[in-house]
Amino acid sequence: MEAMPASPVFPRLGMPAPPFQAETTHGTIRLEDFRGSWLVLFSHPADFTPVCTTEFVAFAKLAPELSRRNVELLGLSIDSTYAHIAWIRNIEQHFQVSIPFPVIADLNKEVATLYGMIMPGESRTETSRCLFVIDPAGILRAMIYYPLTTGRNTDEVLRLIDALQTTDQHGVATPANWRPGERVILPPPKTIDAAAERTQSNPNCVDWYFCQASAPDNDSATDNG
Amino acid sequence: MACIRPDGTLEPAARGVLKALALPQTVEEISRQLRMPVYRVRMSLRELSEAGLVVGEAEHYHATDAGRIRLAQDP
Repeated sequence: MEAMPASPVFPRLGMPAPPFQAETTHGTIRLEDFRGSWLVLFSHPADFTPVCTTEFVAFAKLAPELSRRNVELLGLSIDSTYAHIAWIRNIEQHFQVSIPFPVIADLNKEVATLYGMIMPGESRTETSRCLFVIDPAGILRAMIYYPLTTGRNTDEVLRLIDALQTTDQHGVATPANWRPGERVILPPPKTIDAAAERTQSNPNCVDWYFCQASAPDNDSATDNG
Repeated sequence: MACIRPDGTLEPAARGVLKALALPQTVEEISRQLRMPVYRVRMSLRELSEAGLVVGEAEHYHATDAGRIRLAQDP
């Protein structure tokens, strides 16, 4: 029986994403190859399983919108490239959907271990449904972890990307359930003087720490990052 | 895609990158010219460099003599 590390390692938001080199369905890829683009790295438990198939179809359909936002997709599971290729061809045959993104064949669990993708309470041999958003500078910006049983919502992935890119472009935060075009949140002041100035100068403040602004005047679907 | 086949011939993506490097170009310039994602350009450049067909100097890449010969043999 393979031993699991006593203290699993997890990447940290706001820190450089752990570098790796991996074999994929598109050849040998390094994380640094994606510099200059946003990257959504996501894992699935296994090829030729039903929920994973629905996710791959959904991500494939999302790919054009992500591409317009300068976002690339990179899949991963603990399967061989041969299994990946067979499954991708099977998806194309049965669902008429072409999978445009590379998929890592992480048979030695190297990337899965680096990114804390294996949850022993669920499985010791499969990754859970983990998703990482990495910005063009290689910084990890968001993580989403879902169980084996539950397919992810790709609308939320797109919304998350729009929110992060809006934050980067305009220096604002986004409230719960934010959608592009809706009001954004100004970062709260960090000093007494700044708090006083904020409430005096901004009519859109509920209180010194809670101020909103109109939707930024940007098209988040154009070149970002 | 792996850029160089076992028999030494070039995959279409690699051929495209090599052709684009008749003049020195950056990764971004190649990406725009070929409408290829930057990561795929970098993958291709890495393999082509390891094969001695391309060389990079201060962010610009260009085909080597060997690269130009290979392209002539495998248009």
